[in-house]
Amino acid sequence: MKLKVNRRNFLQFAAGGALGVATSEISLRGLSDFNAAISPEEVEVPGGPEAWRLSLCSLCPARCGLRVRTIGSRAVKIQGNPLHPVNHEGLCPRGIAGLQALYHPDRLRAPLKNLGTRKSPRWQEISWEEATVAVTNRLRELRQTGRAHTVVCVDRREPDLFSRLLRRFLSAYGSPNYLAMPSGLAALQTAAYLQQGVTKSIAYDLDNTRYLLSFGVNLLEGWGAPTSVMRSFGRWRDPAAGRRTKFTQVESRFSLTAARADEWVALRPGTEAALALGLAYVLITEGLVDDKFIRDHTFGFEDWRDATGKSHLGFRSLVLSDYRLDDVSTLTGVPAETILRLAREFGRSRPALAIGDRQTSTLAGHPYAAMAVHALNALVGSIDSPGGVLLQADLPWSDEDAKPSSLPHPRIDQAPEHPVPGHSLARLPQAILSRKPYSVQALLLHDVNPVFGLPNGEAFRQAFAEVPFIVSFASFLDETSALADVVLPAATDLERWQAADSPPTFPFAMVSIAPPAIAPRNAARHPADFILALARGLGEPVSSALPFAGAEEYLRRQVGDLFAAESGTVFSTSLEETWHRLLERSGWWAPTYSTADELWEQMKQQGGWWEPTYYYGQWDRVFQTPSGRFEFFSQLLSRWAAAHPEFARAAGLGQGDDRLFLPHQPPLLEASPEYPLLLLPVEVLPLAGGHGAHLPYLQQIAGPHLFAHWDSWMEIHPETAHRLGIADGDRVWVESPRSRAQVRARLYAGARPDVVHLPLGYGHTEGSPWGRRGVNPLHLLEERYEPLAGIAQTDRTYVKVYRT
Amino acid sequence: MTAIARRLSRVIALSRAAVVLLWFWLALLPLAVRAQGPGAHFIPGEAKAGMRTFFDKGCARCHAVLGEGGRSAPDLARAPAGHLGSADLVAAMWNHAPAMWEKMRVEHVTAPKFSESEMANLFAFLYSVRSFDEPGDPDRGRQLLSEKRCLVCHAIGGQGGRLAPDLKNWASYRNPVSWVQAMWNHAPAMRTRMAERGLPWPELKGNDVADLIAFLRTAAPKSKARVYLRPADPDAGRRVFRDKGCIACHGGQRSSGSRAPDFSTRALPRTLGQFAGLMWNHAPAMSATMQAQQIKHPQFSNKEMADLIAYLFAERYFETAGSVERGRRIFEDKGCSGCHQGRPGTILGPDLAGWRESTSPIRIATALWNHGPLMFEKMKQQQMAWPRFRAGEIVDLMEFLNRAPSAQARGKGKQ
Repeated sequence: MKLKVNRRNFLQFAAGGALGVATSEISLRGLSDFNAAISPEEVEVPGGPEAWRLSLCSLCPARCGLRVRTIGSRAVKIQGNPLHPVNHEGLCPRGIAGLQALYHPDRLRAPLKNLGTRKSPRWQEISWEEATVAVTNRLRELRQTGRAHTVVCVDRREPDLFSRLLRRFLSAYGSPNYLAMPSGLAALQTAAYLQQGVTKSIAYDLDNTRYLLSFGVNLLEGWGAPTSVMRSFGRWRDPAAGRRTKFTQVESRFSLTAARADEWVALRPGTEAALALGLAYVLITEGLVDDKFIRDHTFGFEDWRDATGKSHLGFRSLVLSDYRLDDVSTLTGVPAETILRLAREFGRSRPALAIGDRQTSTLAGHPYAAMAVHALNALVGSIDSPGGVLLQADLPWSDEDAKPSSLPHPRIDQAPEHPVPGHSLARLPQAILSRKPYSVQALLLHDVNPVFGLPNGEAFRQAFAEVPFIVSFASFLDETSALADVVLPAATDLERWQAADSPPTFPFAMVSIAPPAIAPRNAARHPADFILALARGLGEPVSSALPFAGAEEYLRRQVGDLFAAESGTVFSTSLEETWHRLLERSGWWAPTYSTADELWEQMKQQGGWWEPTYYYGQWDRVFQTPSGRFEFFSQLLSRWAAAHPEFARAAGLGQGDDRLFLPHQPPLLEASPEYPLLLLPVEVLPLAGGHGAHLPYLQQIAGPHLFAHWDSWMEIHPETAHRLGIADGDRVWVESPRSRAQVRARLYAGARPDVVHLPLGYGHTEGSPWGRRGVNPLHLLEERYEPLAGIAQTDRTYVKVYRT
Repeated sequence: MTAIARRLSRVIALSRAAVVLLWFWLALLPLAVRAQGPGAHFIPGEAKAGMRTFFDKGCARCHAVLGEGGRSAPDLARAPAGHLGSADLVAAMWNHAPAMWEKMRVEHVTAPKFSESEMANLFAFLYSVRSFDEPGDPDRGRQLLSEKRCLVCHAIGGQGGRLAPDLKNWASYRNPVSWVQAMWNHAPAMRTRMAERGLPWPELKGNDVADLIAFLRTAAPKSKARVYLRPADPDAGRRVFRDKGCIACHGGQRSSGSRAPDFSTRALPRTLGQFAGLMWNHAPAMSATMQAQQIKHPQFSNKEMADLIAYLFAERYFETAGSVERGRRIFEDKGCSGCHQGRPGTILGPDLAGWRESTSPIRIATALWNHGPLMFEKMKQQQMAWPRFRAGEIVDLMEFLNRAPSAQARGKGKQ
């Protein structure tokens, strides 16, 4: 495929984005006037003493540290906390837009009770007391009638103070059903479990890698901890670092990440695994692998015999027979010379790092492809070494709250057909509707919107309609909270006590905390405080499991464990961090505090505590497989599959086929004459995670490469558009076998001729009018789930496009 | 306002200013005291402030310390190898300077200037950080356990001998000094049992202790505990040296015939953990001697061992006095006298008479950076080779400069 736009042109376009803002349909001044017109009280100039207070952003899993400038009781500016190890004062547009979330005119102002029906709600504002009594009475009744296990909680995916509190509450109450929204790292974590035997978060040492090979990861558009990733990106090009890290982006679309990479390699969508294994072919045949690492720390590289004497295929044999250069080139569309060169660069630039596949903050890729990519790291010894794949360090406090439930009833979302992890939120609607293994009687929802944010959102809507009682903590009404019986207005980040653990892909143990920067607006409350009140109202044993007056006390008690650990340091300058690291690596510890109270005060003042030292070579921690090594051939999977023969069929392979347990290219779905174009949703940073469409700051900068904003757009290759008679800006139908939607077409040479792209985050039908525009591409996707972990496959839907 | 009122107003203002100044002094005094830290009089300067100097002056642009910093020049915590006292440090700095300046010139980097307090802090930092042990190699550690035959007696996670404690019990200890402290206390019993079994005493060299710890850490139970040591106190270490009786054999006023190593002169390894390893190696001989003399084998706590080793290291920051005569010959042979000696008005470089009684490695290093580039250029113009010094020569030279008469006097003397 020839791409007519090159990086120079694209950069010119991107630079022109700023000009585009000034010439766009909605100017910033117009926005300000619009805002003032609908919320005249927001125009008041605040008065009072100026202060800077710390907070944490919750608009993505990174949980960057914030410094909030307040004048009197009003927050007027958000900046990054210079001491925070994740963002070091940097902040992405989402963090800055937190101010608009705080003062948004459409925020919920009081608890709401639905006096109508789920289909036709009629909301009435009630007091917190009334809301608390209603929820307490319902949960008490369920517990007293032996149905505590029928309460299901769905939480957002980031581990933080509130998630621990919720888990503890549910465990004490008697429900095993703490569920969380799926993460875009699900495929990677599945691969990590099957190949390393770990469930701990995978992390990457991006700072120290010399060669980064990214398979479709939207590295600069919201993946992982965005500000931390962007800092590393800057370091790769910093002459003071004394070296230059090459960044190669393998992706079918010319994304913003691809534009900023040193090299973009376009490939056929869904063939990332094949390309990774083609690179492995070159690494193996040209002797570019790390023989010592393979010999000392891997299993299944060579063919092997099990205890019964049966011979099994090894990784080397698989690659050499099935992923020869020409075959891979034909399948992926990547020229053989390019594959050869990439592999040689990867193999000779140490440390090298491969990440993938196709990960955004919400789109997870395929586990087999992730295994293929991860295998590259094992081939070059980039596991648990500087510049390579790491394992997120453990926090030194108790994990009691995060342990799997030991209650007698099974989780509602059991998915026994999946070896990893054995449960799936996507199963919830089916479980509710089938009433198996039991009937769900109540739902507690914390800041989640599965009706909008998951491919089977409509199934969630139908299922939730059957649940007798739903309570939703939310700051805004949305598609899911609109189905609740009681909606509780949640305080936003700046208004509540917060604590967050290490963000995704961040290697170090870390606890960020922040007191409220300002008092909650209207009647908003911290969900943690409500849960604690609920616990008190329910009485024993729940109340004694949560004997805290409020969120602050709960957090203060947790910090006691950090003090007892006698390690780590509070957030500080980079020099202090270096000093601490030098000491700790050598076995010394020089804390700035001598009591738990001092630690608490310093954490509040500086933003948190962390351990900036990573200890390499703890192989029993890094590899918890049956062999105690990295397993090219996953014995965990083979043992599970032996007990589940249907798995082979689901995976598209025959039983006894060893490829089931090795990285391999999953079967591709081909287009049909009726649906000739592949639909690939894309995630743009301003709307990453599907959130943010209600915030004007983010709407304004959603699609800078096309000057597109405030509405969905569909990217279509100019040649394809021409063939279909579509001009730039035309409104078109995008139709899949499941549904169709109207959207404005934008010609984009960065799309493949056989692919169209729709951005995630648009298409709300509830909530703020600013967000109720555009198309939700997830509702066009056919529901397909891969067999290993039940991860939704968002790259398997073909569509047709035609003018309206 | 009347004159009295104006005077009163001025008095009040001055009083307020005085109160503010007093408050400031009182507020800062604890900081000043804290900044010194325990044992500060042993090593001038403050290590943490020195780290700040290291980064602020741009040293980290090229040099790293234990991997933190630039990579285009040697890691100053690792090179040169071996223990370096202050004179060694300045000799290394002096000898390396021209190559450094040349590289800085090529990269358009301005050579930084230092005050003596900044240089003192920098030296304290380099001296301290060079004594740090690095995380070891777990693969090498596994090998050592086998080579040293530790597993004949000890087990790891149940695998190995049953005659001694399972080593996983100490896997959370991160500091080599902690390990050697435990081993030292255990040494007499161990010596007896090993002798009974004909096992040789396992000697530890180089990074062996760090490597052992690195391996044992990988074999630890999945516990999150990590035990570190607090920074040591050389002052307290001096008391330990005395109170535990070490001074009786190892002190400066040793009893005649003592064969105990003299720590004031014996070559030291680079790191504290390596030093602790030497103590371990020494334990059987020492134990036998002490037993013969009916001296009780001293037992140490973690802190005591750390303080003791810190004291011994701090003592070695300064070299013993040099020789004026050797220093004079060096002054002439290295060509220093060519510029720094002669009648006033004729000497090309500064008269170093002002350095009498005040020459120190810090002062030399400071002058090197502040004056050296100009000196180097002038020497190049005159086709003079940059003199290189061994550490011992720096010590003698310092002695000479501290004691010798002025250049004028030397010039007259020569005449």
